[in-house]
Amino acid sequence: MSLGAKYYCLLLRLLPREFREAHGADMLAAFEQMRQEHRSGADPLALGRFYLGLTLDVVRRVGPERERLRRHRQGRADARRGSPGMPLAGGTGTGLETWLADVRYTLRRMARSPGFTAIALLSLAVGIGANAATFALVEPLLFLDLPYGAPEEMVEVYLDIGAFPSGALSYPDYVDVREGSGGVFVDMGTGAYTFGQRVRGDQVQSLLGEMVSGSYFPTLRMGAALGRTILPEDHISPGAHWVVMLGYGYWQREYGEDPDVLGETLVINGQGYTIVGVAPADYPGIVRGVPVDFIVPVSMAAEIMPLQTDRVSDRGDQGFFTKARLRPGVSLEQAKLTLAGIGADLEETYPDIWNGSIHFRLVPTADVIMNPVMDRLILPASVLALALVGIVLLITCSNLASFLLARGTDRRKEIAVRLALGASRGDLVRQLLAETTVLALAGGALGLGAAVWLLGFLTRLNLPMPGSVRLTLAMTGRAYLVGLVAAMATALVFGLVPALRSTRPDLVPALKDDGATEGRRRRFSPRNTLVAGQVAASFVLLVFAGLLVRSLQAREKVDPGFGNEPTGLLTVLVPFSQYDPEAGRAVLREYLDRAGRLPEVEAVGLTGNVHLNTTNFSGVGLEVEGVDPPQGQKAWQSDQTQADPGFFRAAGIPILRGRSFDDRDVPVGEAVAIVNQAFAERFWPGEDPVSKTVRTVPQGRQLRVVGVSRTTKVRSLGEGPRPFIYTAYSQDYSALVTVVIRARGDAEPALQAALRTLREMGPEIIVVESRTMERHLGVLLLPARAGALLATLVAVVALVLASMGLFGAVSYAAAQRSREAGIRIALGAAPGSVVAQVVREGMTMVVVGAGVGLLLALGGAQLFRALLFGVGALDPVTFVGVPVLLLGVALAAAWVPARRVSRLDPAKVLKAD
Amino acid sequence: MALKRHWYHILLALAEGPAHGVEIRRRVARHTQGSLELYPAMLYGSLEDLKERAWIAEVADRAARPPDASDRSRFLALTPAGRAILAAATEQFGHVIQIAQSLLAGEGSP
Repeated sequence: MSLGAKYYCLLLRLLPREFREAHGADMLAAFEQMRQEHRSGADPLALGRFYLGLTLDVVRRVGPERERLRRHRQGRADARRGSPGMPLAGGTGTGLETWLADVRYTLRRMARSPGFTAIALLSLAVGIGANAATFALVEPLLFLDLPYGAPEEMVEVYLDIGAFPSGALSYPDYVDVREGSGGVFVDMGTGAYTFGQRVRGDQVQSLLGEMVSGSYFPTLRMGAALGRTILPEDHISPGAHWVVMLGYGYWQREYGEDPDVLGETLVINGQGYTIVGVAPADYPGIVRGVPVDFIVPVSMAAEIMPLQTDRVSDRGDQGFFTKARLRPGVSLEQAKLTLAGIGADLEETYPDIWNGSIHFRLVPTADVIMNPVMDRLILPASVLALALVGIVLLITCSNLASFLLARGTDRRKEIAVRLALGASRGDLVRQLLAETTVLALAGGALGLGAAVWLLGFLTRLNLPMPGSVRLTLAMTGRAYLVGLVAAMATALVFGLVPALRSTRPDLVPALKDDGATEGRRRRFSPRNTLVAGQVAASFVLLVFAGLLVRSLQAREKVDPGFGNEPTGLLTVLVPFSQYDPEAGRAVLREYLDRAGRLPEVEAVGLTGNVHLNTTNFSGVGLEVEGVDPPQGQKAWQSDQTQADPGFFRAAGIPILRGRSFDDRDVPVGEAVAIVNQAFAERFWPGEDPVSKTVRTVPQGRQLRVVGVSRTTKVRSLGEGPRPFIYTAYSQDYSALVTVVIRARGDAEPALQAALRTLREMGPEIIVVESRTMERHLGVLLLPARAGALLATLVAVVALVLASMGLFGAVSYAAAQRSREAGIRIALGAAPGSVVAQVVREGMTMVVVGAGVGLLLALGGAQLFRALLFGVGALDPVTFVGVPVLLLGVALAAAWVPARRVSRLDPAKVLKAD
Repeated sequence: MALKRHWYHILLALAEGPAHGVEIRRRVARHTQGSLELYPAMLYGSLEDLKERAWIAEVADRAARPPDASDRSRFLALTPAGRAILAAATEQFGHVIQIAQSLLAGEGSP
């Protein structure tokens, strides 16, 4: 070997062995080749430059190659341990590759600390799931997807009757408006609810339907999902158009989305209708959000709902929800003026019905969620629900941030080493963010799964809903998006802060392994602030839940004044087309006799409308003997319904004075009435109401009071004593009645037995609804129950999350202070006192948080006042109970990890450094 | 993209076809007319760097090796990523050269 080659071999020894072994031979070959080239010149100066170049070349390479080797070793070691070093490469490779490397690294880290990962994933799943599910619930209310053509031209026409400023029109009203408004409206359509019974085998389905004018779908400018919609050609001769459209949900449920349903016959109320189409999936219904099973033309009103009155000609049947389309260039104001003119004309023509305070009201369709009156409740409730779960997400996020901060502190040394070795801060932040992103996305996926399950569960619960409304809850595209955005926002916001903090480039203390310098003397470190914030948020949520639960308790304690025994309710329609009033009474009398003899049944009775029916309040105008009508009005308004002799006993309403209805009250005899005590006290205080008379307005029927009944709740549980008047069913026929079945044992068997008897006796009698009294009253309690349940769930979740945060913070503090504690115990301090100190420090955050929470809750409760019932906004039970509960749970969460300090072996702790 | 000059020339050399280290050096010398001297440590270190970035790769397939290759030497070839990098850098140079040419041409005229 030449001298030059020997020198080069020596030179190569500077390089790492691995590099030498891989490339040494090749490098020597290259050296030989270069030497051949340079020898040709043989200029000593050039030769010297060559050797200098060779030397510098190798020396320059020593550093980078050593770094490369170290990197490889680290990678291999980490692979063995199952935890690699953080990928250092910055700006090399493609972005995707870097991200993939980051993600792989994160997954390995997560697998290494399953406890942390599980807690983080669970809290994220709860936070994100709660938000997505709640959003799916309120989304249809907040985002008005109007599936109509040119929805900005559309307006809703309501009747403002003072007490209810956005009621529906009667069909004659609709006709009058339609005829008088050609100048301002291009198109106008209307629809009302109807019900239908469908018998399938031995099963009876009670369906909710709509009957719509032929102009209705053309006004909406909506087509059908399948086949055609109801069209003007279906609205020509009354009783001649046997066609029906299926609701999309009903088509899905009952026909399995079979496209061949067109042309089939659907038998409703015993009569066959040809299926001509299926409504689009996004068809909102005449009132948004109330899904219907079928839609028929209004020309079939008398057939689909064989009542004794003709809904199409009855000016008192105000059930027609009306939409119109403004003529291009016509403003809402012009249309309002036109309608005011029509209203004035109607007032002149029908002074009995159109008394003074009634007028038309126009609202742009785009501004209406369900109904302008209900919207005033829906909107705040939705926003409140979102705010509640939003707080939970915040707590989740702060928990996550708190964990990440702690881990960031743990990892400071590792991070500092990497920074010292030249990794850029951007690389590290990106890496740490990848970690939170993976966590948040995985938690988000879990949460969305939980939301899907929860909504399915709620749907299966079959909650008591008014009428035949069926509740179908499902996740929506937007709700998924909200979940995803929540997850990403969590990752970004609450991953970035700890990431920036832990990569802060003051390396020296970290490298000195002085882990304890962080946060030891700082009572209000970010971590402690987060814990205090969580405690405050939990406090507010607990107070809110407490108030709602107390409201619910108060509401449940309200005595409705009837139906306190197990009772079944059977709402039936005796088809007027087959039964005139006389035949109808006869068939029901026979039915009541038979049902009353059933062994399961204690008593039966009959009423036109059960009290506390949220979908139907019926009133009557009255002139009261000896009392002037209210100023500017022709008559008093009172709630009213029919009752038969058995009703009061079956419903459990005692007659306090006089008598109940009986066989003396024949159709042709003197018309009689029973009033409730509230009625008697309102109009005849201190007098005997029996034998007083009232006269109905505008019919002018005179009624003599024969009895006084105990006052019941009529419209809502929260109302004060409300005057009520019962007329005799025998004198005031209704084809639509509710049979009240008081059970001897449980309500359900009695109801089923009564239903069977009805099927055997009169299969043509339409069962509109069958339900227990418990379920009937449950409709009223549903919002309160749902609210209390939701708020309690949310508050408990918040409390658990906050406790987890506190637990983490205290464990961390305990671990950091182990050295100090060890010294103190070694010096003779009682372990108990050391524990107490750690607990005390943890509880300081809790007390600060609880104090802030108390102030917030005191303020916030005033805002909730409208939602409360029977409790004050400063309910002492809540405001004492919540702090006790919170402090108790917090104490446990702080004490468990703090106890560890006392079990330290001082010798071990002191040797650990 | 800032691509080190010798990385560019190594990639360019490999654009001619797979080669071992000594051959790469030879090609670079030819392409640069001797103006870029690739010393061995620089050469093999750079080859490692480029392999780490997956811009070049060792040719495992014997069929892909040039016919005159011995079994001992490591043969390296451009990866699709390397080719893309080379193309991007070349485009940039082309742009710079255009500017330079137009500037120089403008300077030449009165």
